Amino acid sequence: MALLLENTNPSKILDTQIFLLIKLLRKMQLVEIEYSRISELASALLILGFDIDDDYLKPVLEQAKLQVSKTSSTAAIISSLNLLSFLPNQKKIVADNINLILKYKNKDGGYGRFYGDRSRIPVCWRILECFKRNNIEDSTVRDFVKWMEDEWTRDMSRGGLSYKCSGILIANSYYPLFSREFIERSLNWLLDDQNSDGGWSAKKDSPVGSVPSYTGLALRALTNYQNDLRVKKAIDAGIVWLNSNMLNSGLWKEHPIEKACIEISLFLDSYLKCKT
Amino acid sequence: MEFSKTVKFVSRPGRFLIYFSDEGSIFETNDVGKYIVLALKANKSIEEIVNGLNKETNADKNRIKADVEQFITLLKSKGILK
Repeated sequence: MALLLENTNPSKILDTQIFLLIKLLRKMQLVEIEYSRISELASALLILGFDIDDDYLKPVLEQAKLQVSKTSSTAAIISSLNLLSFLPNQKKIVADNINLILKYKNKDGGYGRFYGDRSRIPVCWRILECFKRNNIEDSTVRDFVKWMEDEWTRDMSRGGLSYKCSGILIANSYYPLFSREFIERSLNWLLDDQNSDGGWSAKKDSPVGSVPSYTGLALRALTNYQNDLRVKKAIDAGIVWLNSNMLNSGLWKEHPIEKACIEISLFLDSYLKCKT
Repeated sequence: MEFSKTVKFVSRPGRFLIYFSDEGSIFETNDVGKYIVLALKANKSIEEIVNGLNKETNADKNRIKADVEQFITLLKSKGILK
């Protein structure tokens, strides 16, 4: 295992993933894939340091300006806002749409996929990510965090799912408002949920086996807790899994094709930034 | 001078990467290379680039000019710069 890890190079894997994401962005634009997928990919590329003036991005950024306010999909609003937050002179449109999202809040404090949908952890942590990027104060998200903590506590008692736990741990890195005991329980849960091959499924030992995007997301969640030796070991095993499951093309056996590239790239980005 | 349409730039902490889709190649350059690429993208002349680098590094102008021209030749030979 240790020998394999020495032969992996996270930086090189990330270089390849960025290359593929750029190519996928172009292909998805040419075949007119739905905007939400393109904007999520474009947003990831900007986080990874892609040139904001690039020709491929221009139409996506223009569409982001038009798209917000015209949809009740929280995911679509978030991905547009994530894109617009990289642009100068977009403060008003960003502020207007954050206010729009705040109106979509359910009575329980959480958010669903669209207005009227029940609150969901995977939507909520991505909203927190977007809020953090736009410097939204802690006071605005307290009830929201409380809903996430209550919901995940219930979920854990029913079995839980890795991508929800990953979202909770990532959310805590943006807004450390969750209780310490709750975060420790969640961290233990995610570590216990790692498959013996080093990857993650939606749930440990799922017949589907380890899933690239869930593995990328879990690893990204763990990067913020690396002062724990168990976390370091779990990350090392996860990187070995990534290295041995990446196809020769650099892509992953998962649909939609960009999903794993995005999650794994964002993990590697956090991981490498933590190391420097 | 113009960059090929299929050349893409990614700025990572401590690294500047040039992705060339046509070739399927990734090139990495240092801070001076990054400075030159960004200046060329902003349509700056060689003279402006040399003066800018001279201000940044205090190095000899003739030496800087030779390095800039050599780098540009390299970019052209790879097809990155037209």
